[in-house]
Amino acid sequence: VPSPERESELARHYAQELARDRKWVADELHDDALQAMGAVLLRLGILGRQLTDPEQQALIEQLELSTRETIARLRAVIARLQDMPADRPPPG
Amino acid sequence: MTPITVVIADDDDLLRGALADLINSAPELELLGSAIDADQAIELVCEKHPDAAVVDVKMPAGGGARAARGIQECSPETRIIAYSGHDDRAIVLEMLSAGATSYLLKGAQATDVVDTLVRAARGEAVLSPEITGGVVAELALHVQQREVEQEQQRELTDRIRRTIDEQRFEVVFQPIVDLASGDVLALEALTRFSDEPVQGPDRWFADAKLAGMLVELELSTARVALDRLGELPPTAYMTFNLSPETVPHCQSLVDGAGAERLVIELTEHAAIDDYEELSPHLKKLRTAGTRLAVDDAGAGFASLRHTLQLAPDFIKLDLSLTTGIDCDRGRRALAAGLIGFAHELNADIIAEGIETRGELLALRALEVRYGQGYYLAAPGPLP
Repeated sequence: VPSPERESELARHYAQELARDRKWVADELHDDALQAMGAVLLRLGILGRQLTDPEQQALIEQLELSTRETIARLRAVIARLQDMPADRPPPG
Repeated sequence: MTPITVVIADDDDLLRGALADLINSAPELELLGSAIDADQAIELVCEKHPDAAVVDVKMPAGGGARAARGIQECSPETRIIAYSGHDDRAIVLEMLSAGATSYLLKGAQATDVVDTLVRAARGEAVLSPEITGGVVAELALHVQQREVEQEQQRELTDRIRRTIDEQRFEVVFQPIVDLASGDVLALEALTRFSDEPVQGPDRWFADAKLAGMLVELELSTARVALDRLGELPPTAYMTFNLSPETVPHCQSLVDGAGAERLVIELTEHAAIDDYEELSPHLKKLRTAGTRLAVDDAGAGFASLRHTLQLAPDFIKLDLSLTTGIDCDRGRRALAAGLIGFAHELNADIIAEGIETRGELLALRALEVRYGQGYYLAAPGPLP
């Protein structure tokens, strides 16, 4: 059975590791996934500007909307990961 | 219509590629080049001088803030659009104070990007709608403060300009006398400002310095003083105050005026840090016969080392040493030290701020040669 000192040391260590991992995930999402989604959104826009058929344009607009929603969700996850104190377990 | 020229800088290949294709596909925009870090971005903009630059906030070689500052410096006409995945207010504010006029989030769709570029190039400031109200409020405050500061600076500059152009000051003269004989050695030219606000000459010169117009104001007040040289008693010198930064510009002023009757009082409101630059100018002035006094010795910045380097003809004992010298052994000892120092340098001492008979007697006893102050004569117009 670990001593109380050892136990609190382990807990501190665990919290540090957790904080580091969260930062890593947040940075990865921000620097990589978010940028890639941004690129997709811009390319959809390029396509949309070239289309003349209103039905096709509406389709592209739907795609743009979904992509923007994805980006917004990604950003919300990043914000939560950055704000979350490491001594508390992730919610839900 | 000529298209708006654009440069983009982003380290993410996918996003940079999409952005480039978007700009190339838009007839109202023309892409001049793309960069992958701050160094490249600065170099590219300095070379191409585009109307607008899209700058990723987070990229290598110092990030967007460094890129924005570099761009501002070499191509101030280029509008900078910060392009960011963050809506963190600290980062938004940093980019905007680094010189970006617009802030676009990476969740913006193609039409927003094009629209922002067009509006930014027109001179409008555009912020992504996702940027929260708090940031916008803070930003408004920030911009307002900057405007207030600029306005204050403008007012200051206008005020000093008016003072110079309309000569809203007069020059008065205070005698410097031989403490033993009472003969007038020189008259010190002092400036009195008649314009609002009512404040001492020190403050006026300090304001001029803040406005970057110190040299101009000093030259202008000195010119008015020097015009009066003919009205002085023929054996008297005229002393006038100059800051070290004005000395290199005063040659022509002194040339026409009767250089051998002039004494420059070098006032040091800050330590002189560049003697190398100052000394050839002083040498030239002194070769023409102009004498040199070091002002405020024993106080503030007029250190003994500086005085030694300048080898002045006169050393002016600061009034903080003169005041109460008859009642204070410490002051007497300090003054005696400076007097010995002056002797070694072959310089004469002028005691400033003599206001009582006791001070006069104490200075005489210390064999101080010259002095000035209200007890001897107040500053006033020439007779």
